[in-house]
Amino acid sequence: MNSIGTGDRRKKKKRKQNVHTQASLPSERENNIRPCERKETRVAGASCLESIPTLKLSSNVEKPQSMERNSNLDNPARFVTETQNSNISGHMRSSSTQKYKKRPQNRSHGNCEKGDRSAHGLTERQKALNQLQAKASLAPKDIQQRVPEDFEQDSRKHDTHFADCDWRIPRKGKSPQKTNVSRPSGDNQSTQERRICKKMKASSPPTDNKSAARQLFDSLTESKASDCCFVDQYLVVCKNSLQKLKKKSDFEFLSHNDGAFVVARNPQGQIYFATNLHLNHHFTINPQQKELISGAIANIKVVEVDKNELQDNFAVWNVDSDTEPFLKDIAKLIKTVFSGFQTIMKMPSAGDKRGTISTNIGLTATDCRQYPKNRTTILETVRPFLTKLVSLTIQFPSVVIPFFLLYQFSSCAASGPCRW
Amino acid sequence: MPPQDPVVGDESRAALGELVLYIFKKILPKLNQQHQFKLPNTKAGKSRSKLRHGLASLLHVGETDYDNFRVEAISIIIPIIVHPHTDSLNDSTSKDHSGTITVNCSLPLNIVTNATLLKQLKSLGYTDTFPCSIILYARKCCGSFYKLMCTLQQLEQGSNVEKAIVESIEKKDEYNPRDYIGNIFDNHNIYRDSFHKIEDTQGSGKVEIPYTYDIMVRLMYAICYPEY
Repeated sequence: MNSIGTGDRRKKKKRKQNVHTQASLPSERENNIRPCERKETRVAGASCLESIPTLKLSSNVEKPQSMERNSNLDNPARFVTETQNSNISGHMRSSSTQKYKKRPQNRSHGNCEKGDRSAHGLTERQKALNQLQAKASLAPKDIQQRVPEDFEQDSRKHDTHFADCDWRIPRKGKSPQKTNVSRPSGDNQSTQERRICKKMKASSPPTDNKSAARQLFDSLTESKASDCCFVDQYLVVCKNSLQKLKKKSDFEFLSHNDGAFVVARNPQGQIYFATNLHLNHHFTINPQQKELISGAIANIKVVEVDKNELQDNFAVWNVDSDTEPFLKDIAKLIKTVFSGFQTIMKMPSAGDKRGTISTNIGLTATDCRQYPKNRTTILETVRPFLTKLVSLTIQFPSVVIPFFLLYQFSSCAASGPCRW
Repeated sequence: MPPQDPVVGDESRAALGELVLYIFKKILPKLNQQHQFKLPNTKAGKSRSKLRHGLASLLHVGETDYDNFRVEAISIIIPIIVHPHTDSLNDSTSKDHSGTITVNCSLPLNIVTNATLLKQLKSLGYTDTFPCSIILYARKCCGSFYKLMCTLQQLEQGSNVEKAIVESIEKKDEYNPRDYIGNIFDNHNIYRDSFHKIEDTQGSGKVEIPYTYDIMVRLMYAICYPEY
């Protein structure tokens, strides 16, 4: 439940935990329970308060770790650092805790793994708590033995119900998650609910690749330049990764796409052509990550270094013919080019593990001499500066320029240089 | 204070120009992508070509080869690691301009004279050779410029007022020194101030605009106050 980020929810959760702890206090006093034991009981109760997926997913996770993660929610930086070395499964990991904290509304999309609760779910949970409190007050002697199991069972029923409720919220472009939710055949579950769930199960796409995608994404974000030499690299170009997503999230481009090209790097030389890279995510992977990618992305086309691949929107040239020594010719030219342009190569700043040593030459929207901190480098000025033109394009009407646009023009220009 | 010109030798510039031409002349047809980055023979297309020619001249490409120089931006990178991303600077306005051509090769480490770069490459474990990529693509801002020119092209087919607007935006000669395309926003207050000035002194409605006023101001006023 690492994604419960908002203060109000945490307060509510704490309040519930306190209620439960207080309820068990009389029995503790009677049974002479030590503080550490009491804490453990509270932990069990607290984990019971979480949804079923967590209980299932965290089966491999030791409870102290789980507690540590919860306690680290207030400090995302610490959270990320500490979980990097832990053996928590991909479902539990989230390298974008901060993002989730910033956008709490993202978490209410029926995603049980992320610990989402609807308002309805909280009310149900409160009812369950009240019932347990009543039980505790009626039978204080045996609550030490009964509470964890009973509460767990009860909360399982309710949490499964919450998951079902969340399921039914139709979300465009986002498939509901359900695979990790086991459905016990509880008596309180109506036949109608079961029927709805059956329908939902039949219509929902499988989400197994989602966990693999998250695992791969975490691996990608953690990888450093020194982790993978160029000769071992593979370039991955996803197909239509953004077109399928109504709402982009960190790793969904891996699970929502039409497949991917995986191109082995050829140290002898390589030419490749791809379209729509402004829409299609691309990145490099190492051999270990290549094993993960087949679980995350379906329909992978691997292009090895010993053959050429020619398609409409994607082409790779790996092997020269005797009559067409493209790679040899190009290598000579690049050598000369690099000799001169290395003086203007931009180094990544210290600690920037994502940075690439690069330089960009070409037409730019701004005058880079006037704004030298721009990442684009031009050799000399090619007029006109296009910022103004771009602004004009946006504002220009199809028929006639109304009077008020004059003010918009001026506000556009006053906003300063754009970085394109 | 404007920065100094980057120190890039003519030989390297010419080699880059030659590389671009080589790719467009020989490799793209082989990859069945010869249609990529081609512009129509229209007014808008020619305007965009002009921008490309400006870049081509900086890379010492001869005028006879301008038609084969169809690129607007070139990135030289050392592809040590590429994290997941999309290319936001690429032209997304049309399918024929959304392509990216990448050329990879390994270069000997002894050609590196930049001490910082050399240190960085060695720290990453490159002792003999290192990878280098050159990426060619069409630029988003050029695509937007092209769209503007297409709009102007359409307006030219319209009414007299629309034609006059296009003319006044595009015109730049000794009689109309204002370069609207380049400078309209540099003096962005001039039009607003002019209108306020006219309204303050003469009141809105039927007013007389001095002939010395800029033609664009006169046009704008004519549109806003048709009774004038």
